[in-house]
Amino acid sequence: MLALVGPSGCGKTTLLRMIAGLDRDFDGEITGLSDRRIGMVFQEPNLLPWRNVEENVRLVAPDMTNDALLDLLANLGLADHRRHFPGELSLGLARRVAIARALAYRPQLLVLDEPFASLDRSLAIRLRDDIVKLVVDQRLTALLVSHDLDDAIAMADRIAVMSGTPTRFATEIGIANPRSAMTAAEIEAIKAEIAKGFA
Amino acid sequence: MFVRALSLLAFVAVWQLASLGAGARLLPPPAEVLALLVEEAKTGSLLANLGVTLLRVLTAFALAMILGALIGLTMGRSARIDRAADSWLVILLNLPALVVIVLCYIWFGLTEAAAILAVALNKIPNTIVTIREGARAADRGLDDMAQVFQLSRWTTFRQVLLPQLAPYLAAASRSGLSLIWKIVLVVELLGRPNGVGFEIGTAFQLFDVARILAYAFAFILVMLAIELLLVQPFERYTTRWRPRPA
Repeated sequence: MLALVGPSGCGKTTLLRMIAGLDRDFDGEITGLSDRRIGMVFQEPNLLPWRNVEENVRLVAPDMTNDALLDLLANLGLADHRRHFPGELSLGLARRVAIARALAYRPQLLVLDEPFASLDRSLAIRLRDDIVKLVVDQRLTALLVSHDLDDAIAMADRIAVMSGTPTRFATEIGIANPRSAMTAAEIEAIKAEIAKGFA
Repeated sequence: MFVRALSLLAFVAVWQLASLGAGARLLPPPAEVLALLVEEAKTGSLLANLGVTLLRVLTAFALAMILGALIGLTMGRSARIDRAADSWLVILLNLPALVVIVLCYIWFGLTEAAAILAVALNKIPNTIVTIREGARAADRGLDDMAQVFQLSRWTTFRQVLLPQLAPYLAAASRSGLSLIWKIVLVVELLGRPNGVGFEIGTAFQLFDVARILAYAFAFILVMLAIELLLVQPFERYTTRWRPRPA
């Protein structure tokens, strides 16, 4: 998993939109994706309000078996919400549905755009752990955009730091033991390295 | 339900009183209109005229809704087409119904097709405006979603766009039906040999107020039935996912 961090307004979301093919008005090209099967988790959940949770996930994966779908929903703590409409869900749950949808799509690349924004901290950490588990279990390639360094450090193998105007990649940091428990000192050391990139 | 019945009863009572004041020739009492309604129904001419008019209403309505929705959707989704077509729309919106009707009859003759076309042309601009508003209000985030997950054009239309347009379609059809049936009567009055409008025209020449009211009420009942049995259930169905206000 690669995490993309940087101050707001530095172009993280724009870069994601270019990768996802939503923004085509740019010079240069994006290589490395053979079929552009991208499971995107947008900042807003972007669920269909008139379809229930199960139907929203099925929309992008019509061939998925019932068992696989139930498994996926259970892994994300959504088993009891299959028949609920998005309007009946909290933001945290709606995000989980958006993640389930992206995974059901069987993506070549999972893209997470600020998946923890406006969630309270304990909720965010639970969701973070669930995502990490799914990414590891399914051996997915994932790209995380976040302005929160703690999230990036806890989830990523590598962290790319974007900065300033004009936008450039300031530095890239490899995490020695990704997704393991780290001491406060280790986390501080990584943060210091990132801060150097901003400078 | 009780309030509704009471209010209806009050309406009949006011009518009765007004009839006493104005005289039965200017405003026949409810009983007389009802008797005429029953009589016309017995001879079969009521049903025949209602049927003819209803068929015209539905044909013109279908034409106006389909064309108006297609054009409105196109204009709402593309800023360039919207700019190009907007002045045409403003012209059409402000063309008086009577002018459209008279011109259609002059250009295409006193035919059924000319009558339907004239009615549809009067409704199409309203449908365009309503549906265009709906298409503009459509959620861009859902468009992005449909694109990233490579949903087919049909799935995107059916699952993503159409549900967002449904309330606008219901609004357009509701205001459309009532507008169209009023214009159909004018079209029939001016250039058709049958239908509710033609009957009312004849009654006008004979100063037969009871007949005018009888036909008007008969048609109002038909439209009320359409509203209650078709439009409202459709609206309830398309908005069933929305939390209901208490």
